[in-house]
Amino acid sequence: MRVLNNFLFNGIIGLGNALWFLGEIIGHIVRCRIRVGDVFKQVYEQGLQSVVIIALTSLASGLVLALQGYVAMSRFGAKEYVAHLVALSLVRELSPVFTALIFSGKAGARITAELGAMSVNDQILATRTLGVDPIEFLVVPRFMACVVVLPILVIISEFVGIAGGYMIGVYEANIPGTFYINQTIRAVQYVDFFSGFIKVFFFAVLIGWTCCYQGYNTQGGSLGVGKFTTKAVAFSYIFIIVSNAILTKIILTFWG
Amino acid sequence: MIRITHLSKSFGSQMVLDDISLEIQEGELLVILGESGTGKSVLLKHLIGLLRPDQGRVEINATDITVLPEKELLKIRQKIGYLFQEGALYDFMNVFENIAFPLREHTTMDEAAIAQKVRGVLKLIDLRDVERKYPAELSGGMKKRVALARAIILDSKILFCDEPTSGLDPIRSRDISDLIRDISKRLGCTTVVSSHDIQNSFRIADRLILIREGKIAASGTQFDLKASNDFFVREFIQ
Ligand SMILES: Nc1ncnc2c1ncn2[C@@H]1O[C@H](COP(=O)(O)OP(=O)(O)O)[C@@H](O)[C@H]1O
Ligand SMILES: [Mg+2]
Repeated sequence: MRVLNNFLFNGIIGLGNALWFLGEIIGHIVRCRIRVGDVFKQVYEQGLQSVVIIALTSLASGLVLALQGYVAMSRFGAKEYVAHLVALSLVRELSPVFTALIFSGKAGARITAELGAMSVNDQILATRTLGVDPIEFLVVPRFMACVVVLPILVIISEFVGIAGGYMIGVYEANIPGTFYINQTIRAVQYVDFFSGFIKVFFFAVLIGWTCCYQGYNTQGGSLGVGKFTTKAVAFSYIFIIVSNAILTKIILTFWG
Repeated sequence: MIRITHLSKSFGSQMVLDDISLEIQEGELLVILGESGTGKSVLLKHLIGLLRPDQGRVEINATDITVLPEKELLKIRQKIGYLFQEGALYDFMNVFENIAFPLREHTTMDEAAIAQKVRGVLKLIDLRDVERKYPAELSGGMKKRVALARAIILDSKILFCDEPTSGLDPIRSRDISDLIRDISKRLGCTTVVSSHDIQNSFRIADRLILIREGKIAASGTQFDLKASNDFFVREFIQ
């Protein structure tokens, strides 16, 4: 009972601190205390770091989806609909979720490790002694970069995934190329795209928030950096999976 | 002038600072002595508002900084140099950028003026050909020198140094101690240095205090401390 109480107590304190931290970040953003140059540097680094593996994963997903879909749908003589299947699966679910998961494992881990190392080497405290706000200087650019980069990566993932599906559709299932593309465009409606991006925005905020928070509060030397980094990635994964389920339900309720 | 009155700080049940009162005169070089873990860093962090006390005040030039919000503290800290134990240089910036950072943040100097100022400070700390190096490529002593340069680049009149000699060999320890004294006197800084290095502390201090169990156990010049009959003081400085 005591242990449980402590656990709950610490959990509530932790959540309070994390919310306060997010409030600080958002406070800086709405007051336009954003260092645009630093944001671009982070965008470049985070994007470049993740883009290849995300493209590869998406290509593979598109290929596999189309293969499975084509085999299954051929039984009902509906192989033309494989374009629908691939496009909708990617745009609504797979691209946002896979991209976010990979992104948190690469860019998110990097954010936590960088901020964590700065924290244990007193660089964050030193920033304050130099009269500079560490949230503005070190945290906001990394957070903003998440929010900018993740949607771009998701768009890349969608295009590459659809291209993968196209290859199977056209060369394996012998669906005419223009037909496949037309079907894809018809399948993906404005709301699908839009609902996918609501998710992506939430994922980006969750990853940026979690990973910056864990890094900023890292303690315990190099061991601490390892510990907090794994914690940040694990939390990001859980938040992505859970919020995806909730958001999917909400979006389907409102937009069907 | 820096005035500390009835300063107390605990972490959980551990009392680290217990009712400390102390005045540091303008231009004075004070050394805080104490074994490791006695709260020297904690005390220094209170002097620059990185920690807030449970009780007591810290006045810097008649402003009580313990009640100021962080935003105000950031402004006050621009006029204070703080040297961290390990230097705490930004490892994503080279030496030049590290030293120039406060100038870029807080002044409107152009690049030429900044370069000139950084070169001047590099000469003061007696380092050459390191401008393009990153902190990871520097030795411990060099890092502390660069960090010292970054701390004084805004012409601070107050300088705090946390264990400047820790982790250095005897010769580097003496060099950095002399450098701190030299810079402090040349720029007329009010300086507080924490240390457990008796020899070098005696070399550079105008006055020393010895902290033990959260209280000031002894205070005075090196001659006062050497003449003390207190068992603990004698044991510490032997
Ligand atoms: N943020 C903190 N939280 C909890 N305990 C702390 C904190 N900072 C310092 N302490 C404790 O305060 C005591 C004094 O630490 P410190 O000032 O770093 O000693 P030193 O004299 O070696 O610089 C130590 O026992 C340390 O464990
Ligand atoms: Mg210390």
